[in-house]
Amino acid sequence: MNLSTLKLLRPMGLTLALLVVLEVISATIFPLVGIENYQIPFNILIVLYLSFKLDSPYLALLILSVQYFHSLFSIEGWAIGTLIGVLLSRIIYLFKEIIDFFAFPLVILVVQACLLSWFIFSSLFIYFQNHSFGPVWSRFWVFIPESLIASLISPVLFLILERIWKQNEEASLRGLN
Amino acid sequence: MVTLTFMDFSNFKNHRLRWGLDILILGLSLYGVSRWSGKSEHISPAKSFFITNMAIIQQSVTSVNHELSGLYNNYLANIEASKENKSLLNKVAQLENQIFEFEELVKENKRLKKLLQFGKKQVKRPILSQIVGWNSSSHFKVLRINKGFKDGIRLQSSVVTSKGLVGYIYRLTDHFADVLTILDANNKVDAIVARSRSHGILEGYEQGKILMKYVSNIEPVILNDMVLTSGLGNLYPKGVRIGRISKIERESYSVTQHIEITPSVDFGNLEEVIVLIFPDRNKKDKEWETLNRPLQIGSKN
Repeated sequence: MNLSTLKLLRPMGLTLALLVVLEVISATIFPLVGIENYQIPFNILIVLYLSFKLDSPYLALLILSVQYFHSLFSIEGWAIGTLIGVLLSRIIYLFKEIIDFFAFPLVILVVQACLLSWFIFSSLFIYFQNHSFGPVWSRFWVFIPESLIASLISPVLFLILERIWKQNEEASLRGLN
Repeated sequence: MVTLTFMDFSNFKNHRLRWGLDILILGLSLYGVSRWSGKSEHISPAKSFFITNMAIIQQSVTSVNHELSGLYNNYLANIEASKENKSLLNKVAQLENQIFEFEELVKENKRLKKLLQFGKKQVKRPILSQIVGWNSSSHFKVLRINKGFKDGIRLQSSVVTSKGLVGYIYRLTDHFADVLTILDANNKVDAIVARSRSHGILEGYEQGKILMKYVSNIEPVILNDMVLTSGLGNLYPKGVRIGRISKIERESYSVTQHIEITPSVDFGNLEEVIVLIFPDRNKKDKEWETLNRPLQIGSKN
């Protein structure tokens, strides 16, 4: 492990701490105020941020750690999310030179497109598991409002993450604005 | 002439490393996906440690919320009567449940009289638990409770309230457990309609409803019929209330009916649940293990 790898640990630790706080809000506080049917997928937003902003060979490991911490709050497990996250990060890697975040509306649009791709990938797994489109269909109606809210709040979350990761010089971050 | 700088070499090395790690983690994830069953999860000690610590945070948040809402309801809003009302409502619900159980017993008794031998009733031990959190992904309908392995809870123990069935224990740590509710599509419950004794399989549907599948088109089910656990499947005890039929669709071309059920339990306002522990569960598990063991042709047993 070289120095740049070690320098990833601090911002990653802070990112995971932020994820834990957001997951607690999502899994505990939202249901207490009556919102138990809709949850914002903070783990996906963090994976998308890392995929777009980080040029590190250890990206897959970082995605795995985000999904592992997410699995502490969800029975979804780490595997499906990691698989989709790594595949999506590969697709993003091909396009991220073309897509550059310069304005909030574009961030919202790109995040919405990525969330839709994530939904399609995860629906495929559900379909293969249940051999039925029933659960996929019911998930779709929950996905629409959830993804809209998630993409709307994504610029704010990305700004917070930008502050966390900006301190790391080795992380090769590019500016959000 | 092409000159390879140190930067180029470093980028090439990073590129190779990234591909290698991506392939390794994709392989690991595929293995993880293949092992995910959706039925129950045995967790590692490390994961158990993390879940316990996260659940403690969730429990603290829930406790603060309960304290604050309790303070408001009992003191600030001066609703002393609400306390009494709440306990009376609970008592009424318990009595209703008892009456319902008696009615079921009468029906059961009549059926049993027709049989030559009676089944031995299972002894169950209830463990009261408080809900400390929900699943952080809306695609899974899971509750986290503040009792675990050290309190006597075991994997796949049934979870109920006085109003009806909640689900079963999906994964557990020493002090906390996750309950896969009947609202989740991964939770399949073998059920019967109380009035007509029609059989079907329940699974979570949309908008907090449950779907009853594989009920033949000729079964005489009607709206508002009560649906109970059948006791088959070695997971839930027999005769636990699940909900009432709220929608029936019969198509002439279809062999089965589309039946939707509204659960008896109000999952939106759930605060406490009861975990049912069967002391002779191990014996039953061994019976299932024996039945599931592949038959060896030519063996003495």
